[in-house]
Amino acid sequence: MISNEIQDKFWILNQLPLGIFILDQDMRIQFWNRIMHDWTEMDQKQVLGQSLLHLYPEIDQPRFVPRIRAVLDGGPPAVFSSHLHECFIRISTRDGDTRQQNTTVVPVRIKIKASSCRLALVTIQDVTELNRRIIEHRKVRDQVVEELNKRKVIEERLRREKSFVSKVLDTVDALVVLLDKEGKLLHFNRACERLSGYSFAELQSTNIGAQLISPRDTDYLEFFFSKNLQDMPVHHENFWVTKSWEKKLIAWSNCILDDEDGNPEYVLGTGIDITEQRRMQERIEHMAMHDGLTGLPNRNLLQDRLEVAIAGSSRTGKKIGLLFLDLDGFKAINDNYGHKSGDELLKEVSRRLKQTVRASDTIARFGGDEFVVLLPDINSLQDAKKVAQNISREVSQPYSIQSCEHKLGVSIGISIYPDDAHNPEDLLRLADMAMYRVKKGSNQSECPR
Amino acid sequence: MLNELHKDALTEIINIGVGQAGNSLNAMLAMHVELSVPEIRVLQMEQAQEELSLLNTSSLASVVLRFSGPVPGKAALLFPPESALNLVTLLVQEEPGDLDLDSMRSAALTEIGNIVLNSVLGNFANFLHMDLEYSLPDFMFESSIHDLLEQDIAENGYAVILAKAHFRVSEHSIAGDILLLFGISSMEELSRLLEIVVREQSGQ
Repeated sequence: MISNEIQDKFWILNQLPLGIFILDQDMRIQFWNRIMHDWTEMDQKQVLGQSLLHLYPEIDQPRFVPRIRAVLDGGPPAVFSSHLHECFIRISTRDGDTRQQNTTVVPVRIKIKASSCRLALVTIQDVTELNRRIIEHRKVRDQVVEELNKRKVIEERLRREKSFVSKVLDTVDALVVLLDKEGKLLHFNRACERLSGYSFAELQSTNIGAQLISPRDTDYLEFFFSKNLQDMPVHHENFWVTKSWEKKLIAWSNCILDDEDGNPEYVLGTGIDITEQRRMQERIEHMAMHDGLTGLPNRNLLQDRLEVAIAGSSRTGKKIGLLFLDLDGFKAINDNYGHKSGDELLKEVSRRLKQTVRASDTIARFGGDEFVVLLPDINSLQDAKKVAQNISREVSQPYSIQSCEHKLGVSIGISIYPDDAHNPEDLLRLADMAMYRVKKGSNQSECPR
Repeated sequence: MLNELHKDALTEIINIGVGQAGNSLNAMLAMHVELSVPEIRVLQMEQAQEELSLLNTSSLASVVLRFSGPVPGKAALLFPPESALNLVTLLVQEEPGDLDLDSMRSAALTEIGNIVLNSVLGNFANFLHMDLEYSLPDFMFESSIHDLLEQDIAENGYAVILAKAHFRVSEHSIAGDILLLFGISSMEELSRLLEIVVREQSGQ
């Protein structure tokens, strides 16, 4: 029996995880391994010597038989792929599906009693699971590729939008900064760079307070950042110190950007440099409230201060003195020596007046050669008289203007709040009248009421 | 080297093999595949490399079968990309559906290679009365011509037999070329065996 020889030679094939059987020249089964037994539930004894075509008629097709025949005739091995022929012989899995098979038919030659004999070794690999995995793998891969493509499209759109936004941000003149909730700088537009002299790269990821914000304003800012951006004002002003140590006043509008959970995440600030505007405003205000020649407060400012002093005095219970001054002899000097000398003289008078009174007192020029001195916080008329005496003494000292010596006198009228009147207009009027009486009298510098 | 008579004999042997391959394909596909070999050339290694250098840049699929025995060597079937695609669509007629195209493509080409090479080599061995031992077919994708031509066993007179085969399926208006490549390690032995066949046929 050749079968015995074959069993001796090929028993090892029982150990392989492949379905293996051997055909003789008549395509009769001469070996049937353990896996074939498992798959077909037929053991070797049942199939040995049986014709393969008899057992599995589906093989009797032109795509199988001639190629197996060629192998038995000594030709090269034949392969049958599961992708082209779903299976070689129909075997079901435990779930009832047909096993997909990759099959190879290889010629083998054995010697039996000095004569050589050609056989075909058929090896069946069950690729059902493998193919399933490949398909799954491909599906996953396709999904990933699709996902990546989608993401690419989105990223491209975002990139374009971002470049548009940053172009807009760089074109506008307004300052635009984006800060995270620690105050770190995330965006700093071109206008910011131009104004501060710093490039974004120099400040990127540093704290906004570290270099840019004037030390005076940092505490104020840190307060908001320490409180997780709560109570961050919508509008505020602060100073930037530029790279060239200039101070710039900036008016900010702030907007808090929240994360998905509604917690504050970023601060978007847009600002305008109002340094120049503020300076101009202050100059205009100063001009409206001061005398151009001497720099002393004018009538308007004195009026304000007098009102403030009255309000203060009603709290403290103290008195206010108002001295109305009119220079004696000024007109003559002005007429004889010219306006320039007159102006110089007025400036010198202002200086002396300032030296004579307390810092909390206000000296105002009322135009021409008239001055008013406001003395808040005095106890009595006596205090005011004392100041009037001091002023009179100082103003009467000789003046040296453009190498000429001049002498002036001063007439001073006094009114006291609340003794004489309760409102600014009446106090001024009374002091003016008192001064007028002094002047009409003996040119003396004291004469209240 | 081979003389004209030897070459004629070899051409005929290969032609018969290719013809049989055509029959096998017909049987398998249940359609008429015409396979013909208009041209066979025997080249030195260097010439072959030059000849095939044009193919070197394209993504070449190939099936390789190694054989040993009196005339050891290697046979390869090369599918230029378009031909490969045509053949795969021919073989896999149903909608790809859940099947994986890459695996299907390699499986389909491997089997075509297996059928064609088996017929040609089977004939070759039969005619020359040789017993050859064969490897299983190897499918290679994007392998270089140089790798294909390289021979493991370098004996005297190594040469390359290059056959251009043309296939045509009228029903599907599909046509293309495939290249059949034999790297023969012992041309001396081959010419000796061809000589015997030539003499037999001429009745000497």
